[in-house]
Amino acid sequence: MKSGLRAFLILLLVGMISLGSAAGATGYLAYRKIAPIVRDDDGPKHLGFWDLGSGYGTGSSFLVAVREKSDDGVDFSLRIPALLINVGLRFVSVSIPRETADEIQRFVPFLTTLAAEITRCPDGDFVEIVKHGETVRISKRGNRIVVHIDTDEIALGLAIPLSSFKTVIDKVAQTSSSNYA
Amino acid sequence: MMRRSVLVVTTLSIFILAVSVGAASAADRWLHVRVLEAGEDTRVNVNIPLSLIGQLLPLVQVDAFEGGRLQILDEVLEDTGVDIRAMWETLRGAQDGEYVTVESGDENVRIEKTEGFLMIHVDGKEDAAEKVLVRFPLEVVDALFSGDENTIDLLAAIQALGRHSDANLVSVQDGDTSVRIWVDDSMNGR
Repeated sequence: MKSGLRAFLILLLVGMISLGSAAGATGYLAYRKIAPIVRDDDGPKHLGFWDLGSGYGTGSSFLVAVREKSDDGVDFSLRIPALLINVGLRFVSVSIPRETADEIQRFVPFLTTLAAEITRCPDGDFVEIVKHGETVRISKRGNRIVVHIDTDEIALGLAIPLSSFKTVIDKVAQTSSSNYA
Repeated sequence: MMRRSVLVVTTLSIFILAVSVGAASAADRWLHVRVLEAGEDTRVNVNIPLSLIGQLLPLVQVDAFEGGRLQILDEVLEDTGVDIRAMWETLRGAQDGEYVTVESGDENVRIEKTEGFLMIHVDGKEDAAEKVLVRFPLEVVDALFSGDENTIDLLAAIQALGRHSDANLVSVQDGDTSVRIWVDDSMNGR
């Protein structure tokens, strides 16, 4: 019995060390990637690892990319696994005014139903508006809602995992119903 | 023997259930809106599943609109003296034909019932290119008036539209602007 318990504790310790190492390595690599734009005499450098031109794919990460079309404009992109967002939201605590909480509560059923129905839909474009060469598009790609805005001044891409969308709605509902100032 | 029968029945039930679920997904109907303004270099495309509209409508509560129903007919009767529900009931029971023709200086308006549809034609006179055609299946209009006397039941109409075959609902051509609204079973529209 004692030897079994000892073996279990050793395995647990090894597992925790491995997990911690993996998490630390991932965090370090993410820190290196998620860096602000570096500007030098040669102009802005793009340090993100996802750009609007590469498409959104059908993965499940949260993606955001912003590209200003001026010569010295911002060029920034970010990718965060949905799991990190969903887990992180569980530990976020927010206080909001009661009036705001009541207002938010009214929209929770609407947003919950919207998320559920969009999950059932096939991939495709829900809304596309093109005017004078400028585009706004709201689509579903895989497990994500994708918003794409392309104007003369800026290109913006946003891909939100539906799982994170639902987690946010649940968190908002939970927060607004139980935690108001 | 008993065990084999149970297994066969269970397998068959699962198969039927899977086919039913698959059929339900494949039968999703989509409402499409296309607006094209060639002169303004503008294009608007909207594709919304009817099931989404059907789920969200009951959640909207604004003024006289609640649960997917609009409480308005009494107000229309009071303001205009027109009993729309009674008009529809009369029209519904009548034979196919042209029932309303309005000719004014600006446009001609015709309302007719034909081949299972209520059709409203608006043809502009001043601008010969203006043409409007509204074409609603009779079952959908029936569903609009299927609620209380004072109600227009949009939720029932959406559900009826989902059961109908592909249908062009609205077609507008005004100069270099065209609008088309229709229902079919593909997300991107045909």
